Amino acid sequence: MALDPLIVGITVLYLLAVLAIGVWGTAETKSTSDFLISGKRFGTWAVAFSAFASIMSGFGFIGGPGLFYSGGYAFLWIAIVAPLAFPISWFVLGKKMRLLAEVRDILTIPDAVYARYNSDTVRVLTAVSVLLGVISYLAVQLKAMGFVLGEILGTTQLTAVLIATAIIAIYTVGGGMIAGVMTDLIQGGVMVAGSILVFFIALDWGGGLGQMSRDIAVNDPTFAGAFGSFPVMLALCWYFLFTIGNSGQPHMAHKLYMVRDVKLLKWGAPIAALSYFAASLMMLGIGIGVRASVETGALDALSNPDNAAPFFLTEFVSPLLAGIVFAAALGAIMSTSDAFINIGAANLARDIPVGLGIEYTSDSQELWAHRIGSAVIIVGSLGLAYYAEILVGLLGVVGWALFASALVPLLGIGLNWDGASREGAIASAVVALGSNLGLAIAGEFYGFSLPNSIVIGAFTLVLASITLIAVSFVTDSHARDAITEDIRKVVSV
Amino acid sequence: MLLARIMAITNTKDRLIALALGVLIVMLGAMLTGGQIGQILFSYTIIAFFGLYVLIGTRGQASDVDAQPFLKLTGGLVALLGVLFAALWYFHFQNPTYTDPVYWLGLPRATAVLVYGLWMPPALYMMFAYPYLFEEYIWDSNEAAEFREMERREAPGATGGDD
Repeated sequence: MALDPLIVGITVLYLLAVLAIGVWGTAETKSTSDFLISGKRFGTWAVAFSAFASIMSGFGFIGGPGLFYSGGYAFLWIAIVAPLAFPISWFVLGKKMRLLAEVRDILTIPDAVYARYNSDTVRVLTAVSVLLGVISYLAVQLKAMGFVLGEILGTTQLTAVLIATAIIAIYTVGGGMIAGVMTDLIQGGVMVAGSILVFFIALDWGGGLGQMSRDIAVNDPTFAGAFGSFPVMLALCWYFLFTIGNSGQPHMAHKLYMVRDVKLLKWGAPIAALSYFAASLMMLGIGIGVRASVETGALDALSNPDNAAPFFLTEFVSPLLAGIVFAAALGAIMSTSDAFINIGAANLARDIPVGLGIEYTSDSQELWAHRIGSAVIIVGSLGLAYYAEILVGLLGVVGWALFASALVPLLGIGLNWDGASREGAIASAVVALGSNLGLAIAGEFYGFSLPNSIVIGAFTLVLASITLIAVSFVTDSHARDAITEDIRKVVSV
Repeated sequence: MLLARIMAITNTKDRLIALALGVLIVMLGAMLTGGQIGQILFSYTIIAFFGLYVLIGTRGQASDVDAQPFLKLTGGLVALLGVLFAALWYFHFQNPTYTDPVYWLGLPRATAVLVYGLWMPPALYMMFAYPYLFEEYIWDSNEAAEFREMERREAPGATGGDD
């Protein structure tokens, strides 16, 4: 059954606005550089909001309240990291990524890896890691979109996901990152405003954070504890993985190419970090508030923790604000999806073919290859989401972790240390890919899990970083000679 | 061989990387050890790695004088996180089941350290340090001119690797 007509109306208006930006973005996209990195045309606000909106996915905006509902304050160990992670990423990678795009014809993350290590092997390994992560993330985002839009429009999830995918396809296939960043700017703004308002409504409804914390602990006191009802090591692994791993997320790092001028990076870190902080307040307020009411018996338990946000919005928030927040939830999913579609298209149309020695005869040919690549990624992920759930579940385990363990050593360390060798990079990329997939398969099919509730991603990030450093130390006799002058300059600033 | 190579290190950046390697190995051990000691050790290796990661990302080839602000920055971050985690562990292990806890600002004390301490203060410190240091230490006009000059040269292509 469809929700209140006002909620439906606001959502439809929002989707039409996104479509209009897509049409404008298509007219503005004239080259592959426009398509992949928006022709380096955007300023501080657009790039910072786009970075934050890409990281705040459906997992955070819809899954976040569900995880607070399931585990009490445990989810804070993921929610609190982004405000610290963004400035760390800016310090470690901000200037480097933008300068790489200044001195080389660099449009993708594997391009950056190639430029640093001068190795097609590393480029292809990185491209494969990114592609696997993109497909899994995108499939999950598309399913989340079906869940949210289906609730709003009262359609089946499949119908809802087809509508939403068609809209995303129009603005990403045509408008590339120009449309992507502009829609992220609007989507980010809606997320921040909606989250702050709903947070205060949830606090008021629950009697304040103090009362909610007492209520949530009525039956199980650990719910109000610093680690909630989850294992301590699990929460610490999240803290490490999501802070350091932020700088290895291609949908974040890629945005650093797009700023018009390096000096515009200056205020990007506080804007991205504070925006994420504001957008994460809603998950805390709704998740803790709804759980507290269930614990005290004021509400019946939810059949699915992910229903915490839709339930609260439809039952306790005015239709006008609920409409805005539902639009924000769609925005969270769409902004992450458009970034992944773009990165996945670049993998298919640029990174893997170029790594295998295939070159385009003209820029217009490459631009069309990227547009076709976007369409293939969308259709492929949609198919996977509905017809290969085991694969999606398997890759879903490793999404963020695969990005982090593959890219943090290669870029976060490698772009700042001229001693990182090609051999170290290859070994690290192989370890990241092999250990993430191996542990995910072992867990999925053989019930294997790491001891002490260690999170696979944190373990593999440590392992891949150790590998890069150790192998580089042993093989670095020519590492510093192998870097070209322009890249050495980027590494050394 | 690895140990011999590390013993022969002469430059600061390599020393930082070797230190990071040591921290990561201890971190792996702490994860696998688990228990109260493993958890506390893991949290402090996380803090140490945060500091080293930022230092590795900011030291560049800067002279020791230019590096001072970044040493102070990371020292501040490590100290702040170190104190906050010490408070977190102290209150958490005093009452790990959170039965009848003492409340601070509406939350059990360990949770209050997490919500009011670990969430935003370290983040605010780092996020405003970036613009504060930007013009003088992260990006100056001389560097900008140098890179603009490089851009005018024909950029080596992103293809055609040598391996």
